[in-house]
Amino acid sequence: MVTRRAVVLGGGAALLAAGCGKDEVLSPPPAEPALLRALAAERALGASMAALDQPRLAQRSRERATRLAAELSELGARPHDAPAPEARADIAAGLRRGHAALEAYVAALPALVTRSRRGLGADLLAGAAGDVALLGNAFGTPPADPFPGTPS
Amino acid sequence: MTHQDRPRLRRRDLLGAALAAGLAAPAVARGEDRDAAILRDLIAREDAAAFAYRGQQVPGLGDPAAQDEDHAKALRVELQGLIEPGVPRNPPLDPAARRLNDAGGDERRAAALALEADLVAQYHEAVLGITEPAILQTAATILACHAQRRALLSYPP
Repeated sequence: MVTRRAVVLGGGAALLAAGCGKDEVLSPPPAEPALLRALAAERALGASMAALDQPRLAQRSRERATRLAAELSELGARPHDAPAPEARADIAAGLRRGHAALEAYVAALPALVTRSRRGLGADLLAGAAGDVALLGNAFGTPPADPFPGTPS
Repeated sequence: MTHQDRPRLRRRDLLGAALAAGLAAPAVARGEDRDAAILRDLIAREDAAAFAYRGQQVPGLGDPAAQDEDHAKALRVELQGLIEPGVPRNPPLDPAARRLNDAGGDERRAAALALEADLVAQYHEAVLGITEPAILQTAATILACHAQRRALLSYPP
């Protein structure tokens, strides 16, 4: 004999099961580690741009780093934890750093869940992408990748 | 609470939980619907841009038509992942693509710059709205590509 309680339990379980599986909502990763990686990558890129005697590009990279550091401070993180490495005047190394910076920005976006933070991430990605293209172009290596910043 | 009240309350709790689960699923579906709508718009823009660049030589940009075809292809793959119907190829040209398509001579570079600036703005807005991480990252890399073209067209060598 099927009791009313069994029917209600069965129905509830079925409804709950219907909400599981592919549609499971996962919480996004925390923003701080992603932004710290982006800041370290941006500082490395900026050092390369300065070493390659591209002062305008290096200045814009510093401005992006400043915006990232401010955002990290607002989150209670420590921007000084992101290292600022040395650089040589080596365009291949500079472009590798450029790619790493774009990759860091792309990878950070899912962790930036508020509209303002996501917008900041998109701004920084677009700005860095443009400057990496100009850096390559200045040394005879214009960009050819249709998906720059694709995580490797 | 009496012993007789207890079963009624349990049923209510169960129904409440079931209702909550039923409400959560449409929220996910709404996110997917929004992602799909964004993807359809972006695919139409990429198809139009590829069409407009085809046959137009814009110095310093390599082969933007082929790149935009790659963009549209990648976005269609993402859309199919949402089990959505596709977007017809060759939709009507948007105003920025039409301007480039119709441009000649010295006007080409300015028209290409306007198109790229418009695409950067559209992808920027798309990145704000996309919920699915894989789709977000695909759109972000295409945003980066259009931002690179915009920069190259803004600062000629």
